[in-house]
Amino acid sequence: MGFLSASTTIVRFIAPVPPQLNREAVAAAVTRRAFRDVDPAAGGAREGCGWVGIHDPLVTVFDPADLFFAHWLVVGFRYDRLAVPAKLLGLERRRAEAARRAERGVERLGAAERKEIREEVEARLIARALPTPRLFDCAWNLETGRVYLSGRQRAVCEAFAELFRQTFGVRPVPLIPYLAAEHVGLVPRAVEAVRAVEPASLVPAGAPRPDARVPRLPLEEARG
Amino acid sequence: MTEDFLAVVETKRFLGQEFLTWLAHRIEEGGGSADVELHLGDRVVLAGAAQDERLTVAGAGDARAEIGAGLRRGKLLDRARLVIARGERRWELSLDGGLLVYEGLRCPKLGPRDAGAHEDRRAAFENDLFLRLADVEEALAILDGLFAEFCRLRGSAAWAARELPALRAWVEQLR
Repeated sequence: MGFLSASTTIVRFIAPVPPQLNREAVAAAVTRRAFRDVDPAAGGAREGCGWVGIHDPLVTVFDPADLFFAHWLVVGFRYDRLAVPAKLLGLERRRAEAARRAERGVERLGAAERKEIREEVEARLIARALPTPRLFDCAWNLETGRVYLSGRQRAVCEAFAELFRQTFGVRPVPLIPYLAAEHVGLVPRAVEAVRAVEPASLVPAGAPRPDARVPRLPLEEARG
Repeated sequence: MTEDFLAVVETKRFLGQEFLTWLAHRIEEGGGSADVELHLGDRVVLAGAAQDERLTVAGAGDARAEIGAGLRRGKLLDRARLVIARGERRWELSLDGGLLVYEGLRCPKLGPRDAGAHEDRRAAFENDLFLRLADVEEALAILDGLFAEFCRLRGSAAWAARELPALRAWVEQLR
């Protein structure tokens, strides 16, 4: 789901651009943090992320021409996750618990033993699981410091922000409304004023409010 | 994300929701600016102070009465499908007001490629990417301009004197 997709989701960050940006050094830093395959056998990692070429996700060695384009630094971000389907985990856990009960000749297992079995089964299945790769585009406007990422999942954004910090030496901060107020051309006094406001009620003080204890027919209510 | 940052995200989420609600009112009152038209799309999500208290209003037809009912229950717009038009150029997106995340952004069709970009696939990709990023920044700059306007009002005396009464009157008439 990249910027050139028919439809894309964008999370915007702000990351101050270092005054001196050595393009060769940046390309070397990006190559050092390029994507490497997740190996669950080495340390039990279940997630892996790294930079890939925005032109070609199989590219993991970069030179400046791969990254710098006019006033942009553009790079792909790959986030792989190993996961065991919940249904399979449940079935295999039941099978392992049944085997353990038969082996020990008991009818029930304690909570600690069931937890241990669950962890064993999960580790065994994870070792055989294939990663689910996800590809995102990242573009850093080197004139404004705005960073755009084509994905919004929290785990992805956190992994991206940390990798960005490790690579470029500056942590990108998500432009949530409270922080965005500082970056839309307001004078400092106006920023402070809006940050200090308390929530407003759009319902006049004297207006009758629905009684929360009375069940209502929802119009089209979605929970969660 | 640090605990402090997440706390700010949660406690200040209302700011973006109020912005989106104010924006919907502004759209109802006549839209954007001299050269930009704004429309509310076919899906709006309202949220209460508790994030699990949500109301989705979706589908074709006049949804104002349902939106009004949600607002009168103390909810605010949390997400809304928006259409932005500038001349013949048109963007569509779902704005997550609480976090200022731009979902399902559809930009105008890409313009013509530079001469020479047709033969070289990589040059063509870079040409398209450059145009697309310019489109993304243009749409976000329009929304930033509106957010700045909201912030100026929200932190000023004009909010209580003019904007809030106008918003309350609008909420009352959405039936």
